[in-house]
Amino acid sequence: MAEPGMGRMKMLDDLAARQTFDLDLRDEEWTEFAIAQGWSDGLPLVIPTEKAVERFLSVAGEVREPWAPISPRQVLPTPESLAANAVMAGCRPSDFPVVLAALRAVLQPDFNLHGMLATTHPCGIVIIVSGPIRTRLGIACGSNCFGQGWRANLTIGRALNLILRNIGGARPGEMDNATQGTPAKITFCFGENEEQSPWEPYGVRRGFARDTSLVSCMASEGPHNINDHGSNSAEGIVKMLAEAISQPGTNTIYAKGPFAVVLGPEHAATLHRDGWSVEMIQQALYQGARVHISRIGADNRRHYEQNVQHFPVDDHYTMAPSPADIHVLVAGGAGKHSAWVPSFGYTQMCSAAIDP
Amino acid sequence: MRSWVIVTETFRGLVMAQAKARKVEPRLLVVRHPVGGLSPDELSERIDTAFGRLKEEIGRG
Repeated sequence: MAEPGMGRMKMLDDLAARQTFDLDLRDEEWTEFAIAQGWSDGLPLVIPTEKAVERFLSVAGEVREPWAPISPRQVLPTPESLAANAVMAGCRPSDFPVVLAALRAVLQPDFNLHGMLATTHPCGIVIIVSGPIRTRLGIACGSNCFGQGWRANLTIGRALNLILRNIGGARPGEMDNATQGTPAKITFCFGENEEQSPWEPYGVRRGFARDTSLVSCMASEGPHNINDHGSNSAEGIVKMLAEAISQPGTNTIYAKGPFAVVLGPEHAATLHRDGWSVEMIQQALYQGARVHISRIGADNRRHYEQNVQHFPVDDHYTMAPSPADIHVLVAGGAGKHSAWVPSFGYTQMCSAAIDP
Repeated sequence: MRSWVIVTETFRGLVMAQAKARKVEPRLLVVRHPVGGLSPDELSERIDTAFGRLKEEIGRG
């Protein structure tokens, strides 16, 4: 943790050159100062003292460089600038490697960081953590995993967004032009519930070894709940999922992008009991989650077809380009709920291993 | 080859910020916001405005 009260702080100027400020501020003065500088997401920040930044860097080991420039300002980060933002977010030093992995994931070209930060669409970044680091850091993957109460979940996601804000320059009303935005722009990070997944963990299905920890990131809206207390069969659950996902006003239909389905463990258990594999779920959702042309007005149909070349098949618009673009995983605790996480559309799920 | 960017007044700030990040100075043709969701007559006004300004700019050489 940063030293309270005062100290030398490492912050960076617009060109991400190394620059330190000598400030003598009390905690409450620091908060006002930091907000006035535009460094905050609106919540108080931890003081990024030189000592705290050094501690984060020492725990993270070698912070691999060169980094790609961070959109939208296209600024190259320094290790100190990254650590300072993780400190300010409230991370522990041990969380920092997860933040760095998430940054590596969103800097992959397929993620389309520049587009998601400048768009009017309300997308944040979902960070899904897989592998043994979940238990080591206490990353929630069970009950209320999307919600409050989990320091690692909340601060890791917040740190990534502060990096994009303070180094990348994605400030609302300037570079970030979301019409309404989303709470997911502040933080949206959780662990997959590998222990209660009846299938191979999502991280393994992403091509990583079982003992490798990783993050998978996608430009996404927040989670949309899907309640199904009534179904006692896989077919019933899949039908409910498909119908709930078939929404005309989403970016996935507009931009033909991916989405995630985060199954609660009880829904997953029923699906598995009835012999369903992940591939069968993907195929069934690809076939079943569609929007009939009668639910789309003439202007929008013309728009879909002329502007984004999305044409109906058998009088239906698909919600994902292919079954493989439907990311199925398990998270959460007891109860008959699952979640749909629609994407920005112009994005892909991108994964990166967590070092060390 | 010269080029111009057509932008609505609302998104002018974003375009300029993006351009600054890339160290370019775009030539802008600014029209009223919005462009989407307009009637054909309203959209024609935007097109006429942009086209008129483009002709002026080209005329200046």
